[in-house]
Amino acid sequence: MEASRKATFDVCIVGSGPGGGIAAYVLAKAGLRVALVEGGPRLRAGIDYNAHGSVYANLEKRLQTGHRHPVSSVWSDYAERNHFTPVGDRPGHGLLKALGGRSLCWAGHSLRFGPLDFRQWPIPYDEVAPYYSRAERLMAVYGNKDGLSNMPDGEFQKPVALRCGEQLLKRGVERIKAKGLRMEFVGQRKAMPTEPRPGQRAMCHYCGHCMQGCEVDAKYTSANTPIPRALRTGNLALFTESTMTRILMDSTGRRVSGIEYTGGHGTAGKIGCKVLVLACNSIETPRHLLINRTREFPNGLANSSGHVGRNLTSHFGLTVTGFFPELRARDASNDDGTDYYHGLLTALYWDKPNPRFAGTYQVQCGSGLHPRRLVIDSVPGYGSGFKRRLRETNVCHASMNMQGTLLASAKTYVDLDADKKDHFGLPLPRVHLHYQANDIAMAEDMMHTSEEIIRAAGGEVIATPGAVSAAKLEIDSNHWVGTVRMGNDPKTSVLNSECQSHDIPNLFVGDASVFAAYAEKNPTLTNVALSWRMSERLIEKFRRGELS
Amino acid sequence: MMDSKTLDRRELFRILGAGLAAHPVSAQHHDPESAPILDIASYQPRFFSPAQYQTLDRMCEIIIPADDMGPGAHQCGVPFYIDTVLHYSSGEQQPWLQGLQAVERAAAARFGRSFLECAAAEREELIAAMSANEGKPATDLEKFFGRLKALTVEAYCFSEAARRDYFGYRGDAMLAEFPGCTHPEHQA
Repeated sequence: MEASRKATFDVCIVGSGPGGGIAAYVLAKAGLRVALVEGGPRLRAGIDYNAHGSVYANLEKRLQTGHRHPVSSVWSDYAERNHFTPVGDRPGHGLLKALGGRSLCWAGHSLRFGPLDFRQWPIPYDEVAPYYSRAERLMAVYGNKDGLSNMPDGEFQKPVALRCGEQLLKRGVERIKAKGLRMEFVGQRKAMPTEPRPGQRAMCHYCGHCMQGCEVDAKYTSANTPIPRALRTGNLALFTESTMTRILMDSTGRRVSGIEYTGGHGTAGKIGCKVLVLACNSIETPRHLLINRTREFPNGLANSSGHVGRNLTSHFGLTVTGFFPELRARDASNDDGTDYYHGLLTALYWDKPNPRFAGTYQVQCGSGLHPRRLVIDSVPGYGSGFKRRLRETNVCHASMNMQGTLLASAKTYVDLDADKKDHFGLPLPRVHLHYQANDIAMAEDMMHTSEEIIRAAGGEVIATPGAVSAAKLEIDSNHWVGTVRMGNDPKTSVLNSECQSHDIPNLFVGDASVFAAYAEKNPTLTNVALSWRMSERLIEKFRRGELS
Repeated sequence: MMDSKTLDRRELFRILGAGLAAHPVSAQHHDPESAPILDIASYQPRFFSPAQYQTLDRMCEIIIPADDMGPGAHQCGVPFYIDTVLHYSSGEQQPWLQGLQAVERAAAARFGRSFLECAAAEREELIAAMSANEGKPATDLEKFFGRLKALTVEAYCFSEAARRDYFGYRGDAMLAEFPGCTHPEHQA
């Protein structure tokens, strides 16, 4: 039942990424009539993106169709550009308009937040744990049972092995731990099936093209698992290439009654709904709330607290690379695996915070020969010496990529650009980012710790920032959270603990903007779990008649 | 690192299960046999003039030469790749033409002849001068070296020949299992 444009729906979901996709599945399965509105088209895995094959043979066709990058990639081919205004320290804003959103290009890293991470949330870990389990089963997450206190084990498929370089880093970590430092080196946990599951998604075949778009749909995406299941219930109407342009309120001005959207050929339409779920992402959801100012909500919908767009945080980091001479003797190999990072350095500063900074970081560790993402910046010169070093560096390196929690501040937030508008005449969002001394101190600690691990493992550091400054930090433009946060106090939060607006009872949020605080772990698994929980609460309230 | 078991394709499709059936196109992309045949040897440049293309070819080969470790830039088709990219990338063309002019000026100033007329040792000397300040290039010639090297390396690393015969890359395959590091000496 694709895009049947009629009538009023029980629930309208805007955005089909990790949060919107799971909400569509849970709500449609429960028998609610659901509309899912997505700004982009439905892309076909292996056809609209396919990173396999000879680069040289495909070069002409790629260039002819306007792609300078010679390898097909969902991100480089389809991501939005010029869709926001950056202010301050080079903020990015990842936006992929396609069915499934950025679940098409995510790396699949699926780490549970732990009990300590929920301390500033209105709900404890135990409340989210059952939803983590369901999410892991649906997504097919692989991993080791590591028994860590603040990154709980989940419902895992069999793990994927470390490569040589990651093994050496693990060795370095074990040697440093012997000196009494608290940290753990574990294998990554990712959402791709490593065991056969008849009738479900294909197994991973370890080609490493995860982020370019999995051509066989092994990696979990909203587009390959929850949305098809929701469609099979017959209760979901899909509106692709349809961008929400306005949120409609009922005659009281206190409740949502639907949305207006613009379709693929400029056609305008309306979708009536009893409940609206926004799942547009942590920049776009606050943007739409701020755009829709009314008499009742002069500062933007659901914004009586003034917190819409505030409390923005993400992950930031830098990279340190080591060279391990003992790997020179390694055989030719296939290091592709499940994309680059097979290892994870974690459990730093969980129980005992570092006195020099607040927050925690983890370090994603990758290695191995990947001729399509070579480490070349650190190889100077030319000629046979350069050529030898080019190969050696790629065979013998291991990289450590920091992912730290950006300390929230009044200077880092989302608001609207007063001048610039998108194709639909809507103001672009402005994303403000300003690093603080805390961020620099955390990055310095990560840099020194990583360098120490590389040396302890028998390697030499070949690429490092040396001295950390804001200019050397990289923000993760796909990990923003917090701008429509949940909380118990309507004065300091936008949503209640069920991701329902304090102000507008039939407005819910299903993306990662709901996070009350951040952890060093990747956000998607928690996003899926929270959206699943939100959807169940919504169904209960709907059945009790509280929402209509 | 591993002696990975590469399965018969038919067997692998069976193991990987139903998901693949939905993607008949994807299967053929794994098969190097089905890739279109590319005749790089008889390629005629579309962006560079024949003389410029030959100059480019020589310079790329100095940056990544053929030697006993593996094929060089020429053999891997690097000039073909660069010319094809520039043919379609109008925004990148001007600096390349200016860079080649800077090379010719330097050749004329030092040796009184064009780059192609220079002896092998003289060409090497020109590349040495171009790369002298890599990382902090100041002159047009030095800036061109960065551009030339970056695209040469990109082209080299994307070529099947370099991947297979020099890097020893065995990836882009379909594995039923990822063995990872099995060396006892690397274990923690």
